[in-house]
Amino acid sequence: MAANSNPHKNTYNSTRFSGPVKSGSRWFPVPSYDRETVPGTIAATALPNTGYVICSQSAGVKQTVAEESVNNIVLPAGSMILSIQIIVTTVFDATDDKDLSIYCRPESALTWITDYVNLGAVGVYDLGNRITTSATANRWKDVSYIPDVKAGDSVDLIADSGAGGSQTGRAILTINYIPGLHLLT
Amino acid sequence: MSRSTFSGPVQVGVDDAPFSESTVAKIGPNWGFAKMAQSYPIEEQGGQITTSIIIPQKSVVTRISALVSVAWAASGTNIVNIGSAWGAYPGPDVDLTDPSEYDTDDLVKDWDLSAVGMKVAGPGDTDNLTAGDINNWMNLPREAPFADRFVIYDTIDITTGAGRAVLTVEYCQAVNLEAIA
Repeated sequence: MAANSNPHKNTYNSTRFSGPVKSGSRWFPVPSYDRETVPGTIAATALPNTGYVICSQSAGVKQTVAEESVNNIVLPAGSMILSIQIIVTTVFDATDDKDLSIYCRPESALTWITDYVNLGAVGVYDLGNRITTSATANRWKDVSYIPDVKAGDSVDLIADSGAGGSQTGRAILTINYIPGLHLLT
Repeated sequence: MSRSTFSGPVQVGVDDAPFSESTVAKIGPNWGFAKMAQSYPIEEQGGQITTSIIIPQKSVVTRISALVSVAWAASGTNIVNIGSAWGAYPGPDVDLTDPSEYDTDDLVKDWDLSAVGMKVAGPGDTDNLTAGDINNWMNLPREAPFADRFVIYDTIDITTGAGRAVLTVEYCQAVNLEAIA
C-alpha cells in the first residue's frame, strides 16, 4: 500500500451531486421555523422535515514520522465532522503512544483535528473522544472555521504519527460528515 | 453550495444483484437507505426546549450525538434528556409547558455533557429509558399521535453553567420497521 492512499474502487456506476443531498417529504414552500416567518404556532406536520445525507470518505494511512497528506480525503467548505473512525489492521508503536493524529495545513502551520490516539492493538477506534479543547470542537463543527482556511476553500487532511517504533502501523481512516452545513462561517 | 432535495427516502443499490445462498445462485435487490442528519445548537438552560429538528415518522434513529464546545456545568449524570414533542409551537427554543404534548426523555435520558468533545448517546443514556421507549429508536414515534415529531431537549439539573453543543440526530428516513418494532 502506498503511503496514505485512497482505497476506493468503484464496483458499479455512481451518481454524484455537487451540493449537499437533502431528503424529506416537506421542504418547499413551507415556511422556515422561526418567529419572523411563522406568526402564531405551527405543528411538526406542517414544517420542513428534510435532513442532510451523511457522506463519508476513506483512505489508507500508515505510520510515518513525517506528516503526510491523506490522499483524496478533502472535505467541502463548511462541512461538519460527525465521526472519525480508524480500523487498525497492523498495530502502531510510536513513542509515548503518539500513534496517529489528524491535522490540516491550509498554510504552513499544522492545525489539529484530533489529538494523538494510541493505536497499540488491532481493532476499530472512534476518534470522537480525542477532542480535548473547545477550539478543536469548533473545527469539527465547521471545517471552514479552521485558521488560514480561505472562504469557500475545501480542506485537505493530513495524518501524522509520532517518532519511534518500527513504523509498520497500517489502518483505514474514515471521516463521516455533513457537507456544506456552515454552522460557524 | 447548491442542494439536491428529494422527497425521499434516498436509497442506493440495484434490483438485480447476483449472490449465492447456500451455494444456490440468486438475483435480488441490494438497496440501502442513505443515512440522514439534522442538527441544532443547544445550550444549558432550564425547561423542555424545542429545536428545529423534525424527524419524519416511521424513521429509524441510528445515532444521537452532541458536539460539546463548552462543557455543561451541571455535575453528575442527571444533566440532559432528549425527547420528542407533537404539539404546535411558535418556533425553536420554546420552553414547553403542556406535558400532554411532549415526552422529555423518550430518546435519551440522563446524558452527561460535562466535558468538551463528541458525546454519543449509548449505554448509560439509553438503557435507562422508560419501558418501551427504546422502540422510538426503531420506529419513531412508538406512541400516538403517529406523525412527524419535534426533537426537544431538557436540561434538568440547571445551574449557572454556560454549556453549548450542537445536537445531531441521525436517522434513516421512513424505513418503517412497524412489523418488528
